[in-house]
Amino acid sequence: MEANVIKTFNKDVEKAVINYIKGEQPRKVINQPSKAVRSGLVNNEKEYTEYLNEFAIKLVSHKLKQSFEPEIPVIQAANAIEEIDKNINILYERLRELYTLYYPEAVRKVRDAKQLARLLEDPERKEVSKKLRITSKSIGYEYGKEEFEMIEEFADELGDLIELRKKLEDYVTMKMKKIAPKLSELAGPMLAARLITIAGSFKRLALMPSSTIQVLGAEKALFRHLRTGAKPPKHGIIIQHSSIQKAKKKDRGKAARKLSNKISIIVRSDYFENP
Amino acid sequence: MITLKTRENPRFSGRSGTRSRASENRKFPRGKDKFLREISKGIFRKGRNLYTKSAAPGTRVYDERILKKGRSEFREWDPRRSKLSVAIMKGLPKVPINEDSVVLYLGAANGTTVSHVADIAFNGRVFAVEFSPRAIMDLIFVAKDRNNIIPILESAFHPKNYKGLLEPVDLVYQDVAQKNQAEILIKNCKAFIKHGGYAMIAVKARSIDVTKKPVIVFKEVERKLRDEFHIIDKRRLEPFKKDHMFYLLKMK
Ligand SMILES: C[S@@+](CC[C@H](N)C(=O)[O-])C[C@H]1O[C@@H](n2cnc3c(N)ncnc32)[C@H](O)[C@@H]1O
Repeated sequence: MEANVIKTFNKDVEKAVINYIKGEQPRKVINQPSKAVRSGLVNNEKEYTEYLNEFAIKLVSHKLKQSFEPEIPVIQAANAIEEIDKNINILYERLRELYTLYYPEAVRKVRDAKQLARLLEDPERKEVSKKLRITSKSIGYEYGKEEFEMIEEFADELGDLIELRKKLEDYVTMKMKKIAPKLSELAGPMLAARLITIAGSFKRLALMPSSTIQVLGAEKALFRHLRTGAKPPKHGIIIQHSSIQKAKKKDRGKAARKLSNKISIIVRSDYFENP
Repeated sequence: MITLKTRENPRFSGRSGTRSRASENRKFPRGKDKFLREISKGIFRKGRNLYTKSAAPGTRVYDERILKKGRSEFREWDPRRSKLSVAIMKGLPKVPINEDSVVLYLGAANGTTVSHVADIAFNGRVFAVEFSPRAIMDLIFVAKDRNNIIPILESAFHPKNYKGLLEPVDLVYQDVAQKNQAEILIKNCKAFIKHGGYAMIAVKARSIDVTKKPVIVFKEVERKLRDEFHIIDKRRLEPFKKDHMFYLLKMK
């Protein structure tokens, strides 16, 4: 009987892995090189090593497939949004500076990156002045055709980046509402995603005590507190929530405690309803 | 007590391309050897660098430099990426690994150090335990090139979960940065180590207790280790790793 099992074992590693997972494979053979050789599963120790290597890789691949959680790509997207935001800010600053030298009167009227990118689809003064209703003569330098082309490219790329950010945010929002509907309602889908991202996973966030949730995102300050006895942080990323933004400075600690309590209750109910 | 989970990137992304490592290496005296010299089984030194002979020529695991000698390739063992490399550079008196060794490696991560250990033990087996799915994805590719690596996706807290795959081992190597590092090592050694086997552990003081001085943390760890092991050697890993102690142990 055993010899038979070993034969199928030998031919089909895939099957052996499945049997192993079910707890049905002859374990006593696989973890003993000399026995594996004697039983005929493999011819020598070198083959044993190769067999075990293939077996282990297949077993891990199998388990990996099962370790997928729906928030994994959401975490990546949430991180990408943070990184893109930084890039948008840098490029926006640069484009403002570049265009100010040519048309300062216009740039003074621009409020954000999106507006600037849209405005500079055609960067020449006669177009921009119309859009912004500027009548006065500009004090800026004169730019030529080459500069206009370059600025147009620049604005176009910035616009694309803003567009991409928007798409990522739509994706995160849609997914978070599915994964953690009540948390998304309470904290807003984007803050909910940040919380899961910092915690590492939905499960970890769900199992966290509210005191930890309160300071998520303030790890540096927390460690400083533990090491040196400096003041403990009152809040981490949850400071972005309106209930804390609205609170007076001296009440923020209390508001943070209240909010993190609510979050910890709600995230648990989300998780255990739909783990 | 607040339990805190920080975002720990399992990937070592410090892939700077800079080649100037003079300042970091000051502690390691410039060697006189112009040629590769074997300083321990399967471990080579040239100048101030360490190498292992690649068991998978033509492949790279991280951005290590490669030295070609005839048909052989020697992979530079970067101390900025591997604590075992630092320990050896800083004078570890003995590396209990040879070509036939069977090693249990706990905390394999993406396989950086594992790949060098597998180079040395090319005739043996390296059981590489790692519980982070992300890290083990990288490790799998290393194990595809080196078939003496046996990747295992499990927590080192629970040796019984991989008992079914493991034979008795010559060495247990551990680098897990966990609070109860000593307990994990003892548990695994009791389950798997051969009579007279060795253990190596890199202890990170900060992951055991951030509030205590590292020296105190090391003392406490040593007290626990002494119940089961003889402490053969210990090395601080400065300047490459802050507040780490590397122990070479022999089971009592
Ligand atoms: C400092 S890294 C190891 C680096 C690796 N030894 C090297 O030099 O290439 C620590 C690794 O241990 C893993 N780890 C932590 N606790 C673990 C546990 N209980 N079981 C298995 N792996 C664990 C982490 O996921 C992480 O990849």
